[in-house]
Amino acid sequence: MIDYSEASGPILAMIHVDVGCLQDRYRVAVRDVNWQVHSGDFWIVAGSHGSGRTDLLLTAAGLLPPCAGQIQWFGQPQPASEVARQSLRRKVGFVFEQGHLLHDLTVAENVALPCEYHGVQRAGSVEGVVTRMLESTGLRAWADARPAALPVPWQRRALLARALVLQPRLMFFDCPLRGLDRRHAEWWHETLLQLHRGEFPGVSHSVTVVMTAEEPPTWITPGMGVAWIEEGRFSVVTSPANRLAG
Amino acid sequence: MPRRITGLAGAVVGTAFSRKVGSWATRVGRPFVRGAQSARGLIAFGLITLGVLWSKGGHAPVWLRHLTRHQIVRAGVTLLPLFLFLSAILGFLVIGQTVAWLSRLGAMDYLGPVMVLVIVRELGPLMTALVMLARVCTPMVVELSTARALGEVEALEALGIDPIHYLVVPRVLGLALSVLGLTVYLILGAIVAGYLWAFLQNIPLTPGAYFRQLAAALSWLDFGVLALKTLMFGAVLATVTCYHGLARPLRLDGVAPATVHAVGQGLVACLLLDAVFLLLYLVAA
Repeated sequence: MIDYSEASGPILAMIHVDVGCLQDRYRVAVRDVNWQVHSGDFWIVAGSHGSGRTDLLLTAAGLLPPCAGQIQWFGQPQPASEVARQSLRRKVGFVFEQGHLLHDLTVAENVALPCEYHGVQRAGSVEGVVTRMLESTGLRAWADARPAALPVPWQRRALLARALVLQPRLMFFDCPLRGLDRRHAEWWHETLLQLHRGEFPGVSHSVTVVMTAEEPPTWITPGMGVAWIEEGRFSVVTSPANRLAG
Repeated sequence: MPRRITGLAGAVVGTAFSRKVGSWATRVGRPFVRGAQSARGLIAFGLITLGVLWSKGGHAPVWLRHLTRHQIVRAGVTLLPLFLFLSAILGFLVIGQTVAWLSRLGAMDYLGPVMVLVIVRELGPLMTALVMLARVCTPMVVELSTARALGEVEALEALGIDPIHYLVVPRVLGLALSVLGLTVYLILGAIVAGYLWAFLQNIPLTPGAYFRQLAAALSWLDFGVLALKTLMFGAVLATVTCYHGLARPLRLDGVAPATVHAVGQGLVACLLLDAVFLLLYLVAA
């Protein structure tokens, strides 16, 4: 079995990757992506609406097959076996922009699903993990609500809670700050930084963060990597400073 | 000059003829090609589902049991009142028509065989499947294709959960068991309702004699084929429904066409399967 946690070098490497389009599999959204993400990085991928940000993120997370090129996660290529695929999925989290919650389950059941399905926690402790995660994301009051009843900002938090219960090492966030009021935007800003520093309650380690945005946020610091997608081209503007220094 | 005109006219007529033949061939051929492509997609989807059922049948058993039970309740238990009504109507209709003719011919001994032939072998399973298609599969394909359009399949994949294992396998198992259970329920109800109708018509037939006729007309082949047929009806309906709900990256405007295709193909699949079982009966008999 492949161990995705023991990796030296980049935890994500895209080599001459042509990113396809989720809605139209014959269309290439972003061409010739060469990109490396190392453990501890914080990346912001910016691009206008329809530029292929989400398609790039889905491809980088292994959820959309590339049209061409090669992708490696934790130094390993696309997993061939089901066991390896599941092992990889536990290490790579994805937070969608909105929706994507299972509509026939409550918020608490949505958050518990990955643990229960994979048997990650023993039956007795799943409830504790879910409760802690709901508290960390401020969703305790919505625990028994169906996803359709949740406003979009809270749906996004539920997606975060569900992704975090598997304790991933690398996390992709698709436009987490889009359309939020000031209170939610500040919460997400703080949460993303806490996750990156390994200070988020309920997550025992630091998380490598890759997020998309229409414009780089105002709170960007020199330590963060920035890449742009424009006219189907991906270009790295700045690499994370800590890695360059290291 | 006239020959050239004749030749030109011939060429024009020939081109028009070949165009006509071409358009006719296109009109006839296109549905065949589409049908063949659909059949290939459905068979591939069914085989993938079987593969997942085989390879991951033991994975996440608690969830699989929970989801399958949910499908059985939804597709089977909630339909019991409707099937009680249908079984009463079916029993009245079949016995009402049959008794009228058999009493004229003095052939009341054939009441049992007629009930077995009409209800157990044909109408019971087929009617259950068609009601299931209308009452369960139609909302199911809407639900699945909406879920697909809203990204639930990608969400499951992101969590390392096989969408076929989570969404399709429980539906296939649940619908197969539900069609079997509801068919048995429908047949028993129709048999009892049939006797009540015969009793109301003052037919000199005791319950014992009626059930002896039924028992004599039934063979082990009937039980075996009934079970196999109903399980396959359920599995095929679930496969067609899930295929149209999930197989393509749908947008919300694709939900209605997916539903139309699922209902049409589900109907054709059930009728074809019924014909296959009829052949099986004929060969076995």
